[in-house]
Amino acid sequence: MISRRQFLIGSAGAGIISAAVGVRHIGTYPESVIELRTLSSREAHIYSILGEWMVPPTAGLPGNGGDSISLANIDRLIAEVPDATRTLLLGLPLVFEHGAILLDWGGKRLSAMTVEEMDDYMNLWITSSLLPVQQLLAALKTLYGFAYYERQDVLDAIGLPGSCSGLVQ
Amino acid sequence: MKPYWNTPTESLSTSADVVIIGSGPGGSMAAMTLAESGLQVILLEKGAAMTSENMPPTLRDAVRDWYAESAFRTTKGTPPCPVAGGEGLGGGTLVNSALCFSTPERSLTHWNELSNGAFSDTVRYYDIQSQVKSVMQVAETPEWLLSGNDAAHKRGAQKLGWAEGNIHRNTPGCIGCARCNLGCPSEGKYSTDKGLLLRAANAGAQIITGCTVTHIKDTPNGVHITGIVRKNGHSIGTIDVSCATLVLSAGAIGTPSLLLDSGFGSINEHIGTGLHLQPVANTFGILPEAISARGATQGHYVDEFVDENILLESNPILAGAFFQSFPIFGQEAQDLMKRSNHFVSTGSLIRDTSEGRVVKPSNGAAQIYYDINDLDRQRLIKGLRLGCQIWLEGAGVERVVPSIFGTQWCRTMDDVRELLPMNLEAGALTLYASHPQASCRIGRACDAQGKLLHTNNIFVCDSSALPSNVGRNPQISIMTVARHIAESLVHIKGGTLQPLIMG
Repeated sequence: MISRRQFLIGSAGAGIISAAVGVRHIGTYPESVIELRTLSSREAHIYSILGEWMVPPTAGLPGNGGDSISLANIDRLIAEVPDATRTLLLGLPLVFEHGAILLDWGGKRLSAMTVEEMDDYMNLWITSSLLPVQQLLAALKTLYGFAYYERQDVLDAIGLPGSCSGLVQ
Repeated sequence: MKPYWNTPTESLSTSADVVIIGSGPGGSMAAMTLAESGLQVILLEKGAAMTSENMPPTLRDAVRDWYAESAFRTTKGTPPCPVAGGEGLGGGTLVNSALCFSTPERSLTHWNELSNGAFSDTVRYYDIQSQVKSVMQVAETPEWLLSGNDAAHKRGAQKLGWAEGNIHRNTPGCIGCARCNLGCPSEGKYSTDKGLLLRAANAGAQIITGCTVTHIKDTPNGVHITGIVRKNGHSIGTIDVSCATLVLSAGAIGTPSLLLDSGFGSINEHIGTGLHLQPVANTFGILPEAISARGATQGHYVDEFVDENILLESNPILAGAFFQSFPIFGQEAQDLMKRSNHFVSTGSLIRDTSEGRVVKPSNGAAQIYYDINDLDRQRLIKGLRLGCQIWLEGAGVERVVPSIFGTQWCRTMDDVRELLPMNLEAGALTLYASHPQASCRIGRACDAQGKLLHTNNIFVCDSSALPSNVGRNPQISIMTVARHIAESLVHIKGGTLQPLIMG
């Protein structure tokens, strides 16, 4: 089992998450169109934006990383983890929402950025040599790996085993 | 499979001669051995029994419902390391890749040094182990069952002239789904819920699922166990069970966590100490040709570097793992993922010298402290380099990615050495572990029969009782040690030991 191995929110990453969670709630967020168990509308909206950026709609692949199925998968996954882990996972999108300040990229929230701004901003995360930043990005990417690339429709599309259909039937 | 277990629908209040907590390789072997010896046995399992009705359809569902802490159980330390564990009837055997290795002789020698000769009768040890392998229906993975990843791994190792082989597994009915880690849907894997626990139940053991033990109290007259009965994650009652003897088999994280949460740390300072993880560092590659992901989940290994305590094993092919490991994002990543049938992966497992510690759990989560020491850091870097080499110079991949933070594509071994200098800091490694061991060791926390020191009636019978780590996938070693402990317990309790292999 390896697919979650980079879910490595170290102490520095946890500190950054705590700081992001402490940022005063600014702006408004649309109500989620799906029923959520754990995520708030704000967290769901940010996860959705990040998901569509990280796993964009692609010809030959169903949906995207921010669609309702992927979002529901994230929500259910977070609902089942221990409290301490859930707190970190609920704070994770807020780090990206308010990370422009952290990375000295101005004060704009991710959810208020244009597509071009978001590309620039996320590139800062991708190219950072700071280990906590790399860990947080890896954690986020791992979450979408689970939420999108373990969907049966996606596995079918890319030809990897999901359901039980072995060499011998 | 006809249900042989019970799931309470209300509070549970009962008593037994022996209560076993946990149904993994250790608890299952103990339950079978003790029940067949005529002892009155109750086994309490936290998770549920996996059946065709609740089989998880995807890995995401599997980790959420059948892995400890939904697979988010992670160490504190450098680097942080996820520690997987099964949670269901069968424990780790339910969701492992069914890999079966004998205990290496030098590991056994080391165990004897650490435990004042608890396993000095090595002939008997290996005789038990041989029988365990027979009972578990262990056999070498046949050529036809190798996945494309396994076959490429093998081809690479052979081209490099490395010692290698097809992995032995306890999968007599395997049809090659490549989804052992979700729970076997074809009943091809002989996990303990299919065999040992069934035998235990046939011998009269009560197997009870959905029972989370939260506290144990040891007295001269017996052990009192309390906890919670759960259904679908919700508490539906309490547990109140008494027994003369308690056998703890909740695994190398669960056993010390429960003991420490119950206050035993004040009488036995060794509980939770000496934890080994056998961390794995992974390498991912892309072959020019398409291959099949069907076949054994993990079917091939390289033991050329066993003297350096490095074991290479072909990995499961999991889409999410490749997605998050490749150093690309967005559209570029999506386009590459459409080539998933070209992906290959190897895991470099080390027999670690680093020792961690399990401490009292917090907010329902295990607290595990573990730092990689310098020797292990170097072994892991060497292991990653070897993983890259088998793909680049052996199997002829287009490019590889060693799993570190800030990783990059490598097309040559020069690229690999530049990306992975031997002084690479430990914090840059991204590791994974699924073999926690030796956290309530025989020779340290327990005596030679597995009895927890300074207690009256508590025995440890799982991976935490190992005097040190195995250096390979440990389920067969755990079962062997569990049988060793259980046989002693039968003698102590006055039972009549029955042969491991039934006539």
